[in-house]
Amino acid sequence: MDCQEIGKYLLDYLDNETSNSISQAVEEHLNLCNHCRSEWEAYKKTNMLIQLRNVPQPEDTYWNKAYAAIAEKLAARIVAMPIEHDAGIVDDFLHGHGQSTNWHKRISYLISVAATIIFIIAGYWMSNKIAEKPDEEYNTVIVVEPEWRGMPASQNLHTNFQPDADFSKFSGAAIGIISPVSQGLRVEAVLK
Amino acid sequence: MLKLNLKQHSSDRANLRELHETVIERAQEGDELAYKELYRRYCRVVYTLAYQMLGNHSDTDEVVQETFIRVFKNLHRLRNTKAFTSWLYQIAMNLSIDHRKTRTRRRMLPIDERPEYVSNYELATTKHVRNPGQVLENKELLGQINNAIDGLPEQQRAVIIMHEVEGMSK
Repeated sequence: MDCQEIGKYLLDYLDNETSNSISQAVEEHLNLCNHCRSEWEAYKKTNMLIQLRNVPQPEDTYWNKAYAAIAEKLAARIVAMPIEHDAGIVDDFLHGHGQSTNWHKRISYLISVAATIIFIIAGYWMSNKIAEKPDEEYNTVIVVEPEWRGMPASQNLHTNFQPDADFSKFSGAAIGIISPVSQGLRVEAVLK
Repeated sequence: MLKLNLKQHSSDRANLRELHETVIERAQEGDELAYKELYRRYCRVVYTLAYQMLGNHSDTDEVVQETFIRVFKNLHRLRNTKAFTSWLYQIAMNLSIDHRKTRTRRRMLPIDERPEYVSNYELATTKHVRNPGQVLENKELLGQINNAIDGLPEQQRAVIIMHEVEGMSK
Protein backbone atom coordinates (compact mmCIF):
# COMPACT_ATOMS: atom_id res chain seq x y z
CA MET A 1 0.00 0.00 0.00
CA ASP A 2 1.21 3.53 -0.74
CA CYS A 3 1.04 6.60 1.53
CA GLN A 4 -2.35 7.71 0.18
CA GLU A 5 -3.98 4.35 0.89
CA ILE A 6 -2.39 4.15 4.35
CA GLY A 7 -3.75 7.63 5.10
CA LYS A 8 -7.30 6.31 4.62
CA TYR A 9 -6.79 3.67 7.32
CA LEU A 10 -4.85 5.68 9.92
CA LEU A 11 -7.85 6.87 11.92
CA ASP A 12 -9.49 3.44 11.95
CA TYR A 13 -6.15 1.92 12.91
CA LEU A 14 -6.02 4.42 15.77
CA ASP A 15 -9.37 3.08 17.03
CA ASN A 16 -8.32 -0.57 16.46
CA GLU A 17 -11.08 -0.89 13.89
CA THR A 18 -8.98 -2.30 11.05
CA SER A 19 -8.78 -5.98 10.07
CA ASN A 20 -5.64 -7.97 10.93
CA SER A 21 -4.27 -7.84 7.39
CA ILE A 22 -4.81 -4.06 7.13
CA SER A 23 -3.28 -3.49 10.59
CA GLN A 24 -0.22 -5.48 9.57
CA ALA A 25 0.12 -3.52 6.31
CA VAL A 26 -0.20 -0.21 8.18
CA GLU A 27 2.42 -1.24 10.77
CA GLU A 28 4.85 -2.31 8.06
CA HIS A 29 4.36 0.94 6.19
CA LEU A 30 4.80 3.06 9.33
CA ASN A 31 8.11 1.31 10.04
CA LEU A 32 9.39 2.26 6.60
CA CYS A 33 7.87 5.71 5.92
CA ASN A 34 8.99 8.68 8.05
CA HIS A 35 6.31 10.99 6.64
CA CYS A 36 3.41 8.66 7.52
CA ARG A 37 4.96 7.83 10.89
CA SER A 38 5.11 11.51 11.88
CA GLU A 39 1.50 11.97 10.75
CA TRP A 40 0.50 8.91 12.75
CA GLU A 41 2.33 10.21 15.86
CA ALA A 42 0.54 13.56 15.54
CA TYR A 43 -2.87 11.84 15.28
CA LYS A 44 -2.04 9.66 18.27
CA LYS A 45 -1.03 12.66 20.38
CA THR A 46 -4.11 14.67 19.36
CA ASN A 47 -6.40 11.74 20.04
CA MET A 48 -4.86 11.12 23.45
CA LEU A 49 -5.20 14.76 24.49
CA ILE A 50 -8.80 14.91 23.29
CA GLN A 51 -9.65 11.73 25.18
CA LEU A 52 -8.03 13.20 28.29
CA ARG A 53 -10.12 16.35 28.09
CA ASN A 54 -13.34 15.22 29.61
CA VAL A 55 -16.27 17.14 28.17
CA PRO A 56 -18.36 18.20 31.17
CA GLN A 57 -22.01 17.74 30.29
CA PRO A 58 -24.20 20.74 31.18
CA GLU A 59 -27.17 20.40 33.52
CA ASP A 60 -30.34 18.80 32.14
CA THR A 61 -32.20 22.13 32.12
CA TYR A 62 -29.60 23.56 29.74
CA TRP A 63 -30.87 21.64 26.67
CA ASN A 64 -34.42 22.98 26.88
CA LYS A 65 -33.23 26.53 27.54
CA ALA A 66 -30.85 26.32 24.58
CA TYR A 67 -33.64 25.03 22.33
CA ALA A 68 -35.95 27.88 23.43
CA ALA A 69 -33.18 30.38 22.59
CA ILE A 70 -32.66 28.73 19.17
CA ALA A 71 -36.41 28.85 18.39
CA GLU A 72 -36.59 32.50 19.44
CA LYS A 73 -33.58 33.55 17.35
CA LEU A 74 -34.78 31.51 14.40
CA ALA A 75 -38.23 33.15 14.53
CA ALA A 76 -36.63 36.61 14.73
CA ARG A 77 -34.43 35.88 11.69
CA ILE A 78 -37.30 34.41 9.68
CA VAL A 79 -39.46 37.49 10.37
CA ALA A 80 -36.58 39.72 9.33
CA MET A 81 -36.10 37.73 6.13
CA PRO A 82 -38.02 38.74 2.98
CA ILE A 83 -40.80 36.45 1.69
CA GLU A 84 -39.42 33.84 -0.66
CA HIS A 85 -40.92 32.90 -4.03
CA ASP A 86 -39.79 30.47 -6.68
CA ALA A 87 -41.33 32.24 -9.65
CA GLY A 88 -38.16 33.13 -11.50
CA ILE A 89 -35.72 35.96 -11.78
CA VAL A 90 -38.16 38.85 -11.33
CA ASP A 91 -39.48 37.45 -8.05
CA ASP A 92 -35.93 36.67 -6.99
CA PHE A 93 -35.05 40.27 -7.68
CA LEU A 94 -38.06 41.63 -5.85
CA HIS A 95 -38.10 39.33 -2.87
CA GLY A 96 -34.68 37.71 -2.68
CA HIS A 97 -33.46 34.16 -2.03
CA GLY A 98 -29.95 33.70 -0.66
CA GLN A 99 -28.07 36.81 0.46
CA SER A 100 -25.15 36.63 -1.97
CA THR A 101 -27.01 35.16 -4.97
CA ASN A 102 -29.74 37.74 -4.44
CA TRP A 103 -27.28 40.60 -4.82
CA HIS A 104 -25.68 39.01 -7.86
CA LYS A 105 -29.08 38.64 -9.48
CA ARG A 106 -30.05 42.21 -8.64
CA ILE A 107 -26.84 43.65 -10.03
CA SER A 108 -27.00 41.63 -13.26
CA TYR A 109 -30.68 42.57 -13.64
CA LEU A 110 -29.89 46.30 -13.22
CA ILE A 111 -26.94 46.07 -15.63
CA SER A 112 -29.08 44.41 -18.32
CA VAL A 113 -31.84 47.05 -17.89
CA ALA A 114 -29.29 49.90 -18.08
CA ALA A 115 -27.62 48.34 -21.15
CA THR A 116 -30.99 48.05 -22.93
CA ILE A 117 -31.86 51.71 -22.20
CA ILE A 118 -28.42 52.90 -23.38
CA PHE A 119 -28.73 50.79 -26.53
CA ILE A 120 -32.16 52.27 -27.38
CA ILE A 121 -31.01 55.88 -26.77
CA ALA A 122 -27.81 55.38 -28.77
CA GLY A 123 -29.75 53.79 -31.66
CA TYR A 124 -32.25 56.65 -31.73
CA TRP A 125 -29.48 59.30 -31.64
CA MET A 126 -27.44 57.61 -34.38
CA SER A 127 -30.45 57.29 -36.70
CA ASN A 128 -31.20 61.01 -36.24
CA LYS A 129 -27.59 61.92 -36.95
CA ILE A 130 -27.56 59.85 -40.15
CA ALA A 131 -30.84 61.40 -41.34
CA GLU A 132 -29.61 64.95 -40.69
CA LYS A 133 -26.23 64.57 -42.34
CA PRO A 134 -26.19 65.35 -46.11
CA ASP A 135 -24.78 62.62 -48.24
CA GLU A 136 -21.41 64.16 -49.11
CA GLU A 137 -20.68 61.81 -51.96
CA TYR A 138 -23.72 62.67 -54.06
CA ASN A 139 -24.83 66.14 -52.87
CA THR A 140 -23.23 69.42 -53.86
CA VAL A 141 -23.38 72.43 -51.60
CA ILE A 142 -23.81 75.61 -53.57
CA VAL A 143 -22.91 78.91 -51.98
CA VAL A 144 -24.33 81.91 -53.75
CA GLU A 145 -22.57 85.16 -52.94
CA PRO A 146 -24.76 88.28 -53.36
CA GLU A 147 -22.30 90.00 -55.79
CA TRP A 148 -22.51 87.03 -58.17
CA ARG A 149 -26.12 87.74 -58.58
CA GLY A 150 -25.31 91.42 -59.27
CA MET A 151 -27.40 92.54 -56.36
CA PRO A 152 -26.37 95.09 -53.85
CA ALA A 153 -25.64 93.66 -50.39
CA SER A 154 -28.43 95.76 -48.92
CA GLN A 155 -31.06 94.17 -51.15
CA ASN A 156 -33.28 91.70 -49.42
CA LEU A 157 -32.32 88.46 -51.10
CA HIS A 158 -34.70 86.50 -48.97
CA THR A 159 -37.76 88.06 -50.54
CA ASN A 160 -36.47 87.65 -54.10
CA PHE A 161 -35.16 84.19 -53.63
CA GLN A 162 -36.06 81.84 -56.45
CA PRO A 163 -34.19 78.65 -55.86
CA ASP A 164 -34.68 76.90 -59.18
CA ALA A 165 -33.79 79.82 -61.40
CA ASP A 166 -30.85 81.25 -59.43
CA PHE A 167 -29.10 78.03 -58.62
CA SER A 168 -29.39 76.54 -62.08
CA LYS A 169 -27.73 79.69 -63.44
CA PHE A 170 -24.75 79.63 -61.08
CA SER A 171 -24.16 75.94 -60.74
CA GLY A 172 -24.17 75.35 -64.46
CA ALA A 173 -25.92 72.05 -64.05
CA ALA A 174 -29.38 71.98 -62.69
CA ILE A 175 -29.69 68.37 -61.91
CA GLY A 176 -32.40 67.22 -59.60
CA ILE A 177 -33.94 69.33 -56.85
CA ILE A 178 -32.34 72.23 -55.05
CA SER A 179 -33.16 72.48 -51.34
CA PRO A 180 -32.25 75.74 -49.66
CA VAL A 181 -30.43 75.11 -46.37
CA SER A 182 -30.08 78.71 -45.40
CA GLN A 183 -31.34 81.96 -46.82
CA GLY A 184 -29.99 85.50 -46.50
CA LEU A 185 -27.28 87.58 -48.08
CA ARG A 186 -25.02 84.58 -48.40
CA VAL A 187 -27.29 81.82 -49.61
CA GLU A 188 -26.46 78.18 -49.18
CA ALA A 189 -28.30 75.32 -50.80
CA VAL A 190 -27.85 71.68 -51.54
CA LEU A 191 -28.00 70.46 -55.12
CA LYS A 192 -29.14 66.89 -55.07
CA MET B 1 -32.10 -18.68 14.83
CA LEU B 2 -28.98 -16.54 14.69
CA LYS B 3 -29.67 -15.82 11.04
CA LEU B 4 -33.21 -14.76 11.93
CA ASN B 5 -31.92 -12.42 14.67
CA LEU B 6 -29.42 -10.86 12.31
CA LYS B 7 -32.17 -10.38 9.74
CA GLN B 8 -34.39 -8.80 12.38
CA HIS B 9 -31.51 -6.55 13.47
CA SER B 10 -30.79 -5.32 9.93
CA SER B 11 -34.50 -4.77 9.36
CA ASP B 12 -34.68 -2.67 12.57
CA ARG B 13 -31.71 -0.61 11.41
CA ALA B 14 -33.36 -0.03 8.01
CA ASN B 15 -36.58 1.05 9.74
CA LEU B 16 -34.68 3.43 11.99
CA ARG B 17 -32.88 4.91 8.99
CA GLU B 18 -36.17 5.36 7.19
CA LEU B 19 -37.70 6.99 10.27
CA HIS B 20 -34.71 9.28 10.55
CA GLU B 21 -35.06 10.36 6.93
CA THR B 22 -38.78 10.99 7.47
CA VAL B 23 -37.95 13.29 10.40
CA ILE B 24 -35.49 15.22 8.22
CA GLU B 25 -38.04 15.50 5.40
CA ARG B 26 -40.67 16.79 7.82
CA ALA B 27 -38.19 19.30 9.19
CA GLN B 28 -37.48 20.41 5.61
CA GLU B 29 -41.19 21.23 5.34
CA GLY B 30 -40.90 23.39 8.48
CA ASP B 31 -42.46 20.99 11.01
CA GLU B 32 -41.50 22.30 14.46
CA LEU B 33 -41.83 18.89 16.12
CA ALA B 34 -39.35 17.50 13.62
CA TYR B 35 -36.97 20.37 14.43
CA LYS B 36 -37.18 19.51 18.10
CA GLU B 37 -36.60 15.82 17.40
CA LEU B 38 -33.49 16.56 15.35
CA TYR B 39 -32.22 18.84 18.10
CA ARG B 40 -32.88 16.18 20.74
CA ARG B 41 -30.96 13.57 18.72
CA TYR B 42 -27.93 15.65 17.86
CA CYS B 43 -27.52 18.39 20.50
CA ARG B 44 -25.15 16.35 22.69
CA VAL B 45 -22.91 15.31 19.82
CA VAL B 46 -22.74 18.88 18.50
CA TYR B 47 -22.00 20.08 22.04
CA THR B 48 -19.13 17.58 22.39
CA LEU B 49 -17.69 18.55 19.01
CA ALA B 50 -17.80 22.27 19.79
CA TYR B 51 -16.49 21.79 23.32
CA GLN B 52 -13.54 19.76 22.05
CA MET B 53 -12.69 22.61 19.69
CA LEU B 54 -13.33 25.47 22.12
CA GLY B 55 -12.73 24.09 25.62
CA ASN B 56 -15.38 26.06 27.55
CA HIS B 57 -19.16 26.05 27.99
CA SER B 58 -19.88 29.66 27.08
CA ASP B 59 -18.30 29.54 23.60
CA THR B 60 -19.69 26.03 23.06
CA ASP B 61 -23.20 27.22 23.90
CA GLU B 62 -22.97 30.01 21.30
CA VAL B 63 -21.73 27.59 18.64
CA VAL B 64 -24.41 24.97 19.43
CA GLN B 65 -27.19 27.54 19.10
CA GLU B 66 -25.80 29.05 15.89
CA THR B 67 -25.29 25.58 14.39
CA PHE B 68 -28.92 24.57 14.85
CA ILE B 69 -30.20 27.96 13.67
CA ARG B 70 -28.22 27.59 10.43
CA VAL B 71 -29.24 23.97 10.02
CA PHE B 72 -32.96 24.69 10.43
CA LYS B 73 -32.79 27.78 8.22
CA ASN B 74 -31.01 25.98 5.37
CA LEU B 75 -32.42 22.48 5.73
CA HIS B 76 -34.72 22.91 2.70
CA ARG B 77 -31.60 23.25 0.54
CA LEU B 78 -30.24 19.85 1.56
CA ARG B 79 -30.93 17.55 -1.39
CA ASN B 80 -29.52 14.30 0.02
CA THR B 81 -31.08 13.59 3.42
CA LYS B 82 -28.58 10.76 3.98
CA ALA B 83 -25.82 13.37 4.17
CA PHE B 84 -27.57 15.20 7.02
CA THR B 85 -25.21 14.21 9.85
CA SER B 86 -22.01 14.97 7.90
CA TRP B 87 -23.53 18.30 6.88
CA LEU B 88 -24.53 19.11 10.47
CA TYR B 89 -21.07 18.26 11.87
CA GLN B 90 -19.35 20.23 9.15
CA ILE B 91 -21.41 23.33 10.00
CA ALA B 92 -20.61 22.89 13.71
CA MET B 93 -16.91 22.42 12.91
CA ASN B 94 -16.72 25.49 10.64
CA LEU B 95 -18.50 27.63 13.23
CA SER B 96 -16.15 26.35 15.96
CA ILE B 97 -13.09 27.23 13.87
CA ASP B 98 -14.51 30.71 13.18
CA HIS B 99 -15.33 31.14 16.87
CA ARG B 100 -11.79 30.20 17.84
CA LYS B 101 -10.42 32.91 15.56
CA THR B 102 -12.77 35.48 17.13
CA ARG B 103 -11.79 34.30 20.60
CA THR B 104 -8.10 34.63 19.81
CA ARG B 105 -8.73 38.29 19.04
CA ARG B 106 -10.85 38.65 22.19
CA ARG B 107 -8.09 37.12 24.32
CA MET B 108 -6.07 40.23 23.71
CA LEU B 109 -8.37 41.79 26.35
CA PRO B 110 -7.29 41.81 30.02
CA ILE B 111 -8.25 38.58 31.84
CA ASP B 112 -10.81 40.23 34.18
CA GLU B 113 -12.90 41.25 31.14
CA ARG B 114 -13.61 37.63 30.26
CA PRO B 115 -14.72 36.07 33.55
CA GLU B 116 -17.03 33.46 31.98
CA TYR B 117 -14.05 31.55 30.60
CA VAL B 118 -12.52 31.20 34.09
CA SER B 119 -15.78 30.35 35.87
CA ASN B 120 -16.78 27.59 33.44
CA TYR B 121 -13.30 26.25 33.47
CA GLU B 122 -13.39 26.04 37.25
CA LEU B 123 -16.86 24.51 37.15
CA ALA B 124 -15.51 21.74 34.94
CA THR B 125 -12.63 20.98 37.25
CA THR B 126 -14.47 21.11 40.60
CA LYS B 127 -17.66 19.29 39.66
CA HIS B 128 -16.80 15.91 41.14
CA VAL B 129 -13.94 16.83 43.45
CA ARG B 130 -14.19 17.95 47.07
CA ASN B 131 -10.54 17.92 48.15
CA PRO B 132 -9.02 21.42 47.57
CA GLY B 133 -5.57 19.93 46.93
CA GLN B 134 -6.95 17.66 44.24
CA VAL B 135 -8.94 20.53 42.75
CA LEU B 136 -5.73 22.50 42.36
CA GLU B 137 -3.90 19.51 40.92
CA ASN B 138 -6.71 18.73 38.48
CA LYS B 139 -6.94 22.36 37.50
CA GLU B 140 -3.23 22.41 36.67
CA LEU B 141 -3.49 19.16 34.73
CA LEU B 142 -6.55 20.37 32.83
CA GLY B 143 -4.78 23.64 32.11
CA GLN B 144 -1.85 21.72 30.65
CA ILE B 145 -4.15 19.53 28.55
CA ASN B 146 -6.09 22.54 27.28
CA ASN B 147 -2.87 24.37 26.42
CA ALA B 148 -1.54 21.30 24.63
CA ILE B 149 -4.79 20.95 22.64
CA ASP B 150 -4.79 24.66 21.83
CA GLY B 151 -1.24 24.29 20.55
CA LEU B 152 -2.13 21.51 18.11
CA PRO B 153 -2.55 22.29 14.43
CA GLU B 154 -6.21 23.15 13.80
CA GLN B 155 -6.58 20.81 10.82
CA GLN B 156 -5.28 17.83 12.79
CA ARG B 157 -7.57 18.53 15.72
CA ALA B 158 -10.56 18.97 13.40
CA VAL B 159 -9.86 15.62 11.68
CA ILE B 160 -9.62 13.72 14.97
CA ILE B 161 -12.69 15.37 16.49
CA MET B 162 -14.79 14.76 13.39
CA HIS B 163 -13.72 11.12 13.42
CA GLU B 164 -14.59 10.80 17.09
CA VAL B 165 -17.96 12.47 16.66
CA GLU B 166 -18.87 10.38 13.62
CA GLY B 167 -18.00 7.30 15.67
CA MET B 168 -20.38 8.51 18.40
CA SER B 169 -23.30 8.75 16.02
CA LYS B 170 -22.80 5.35 14.33
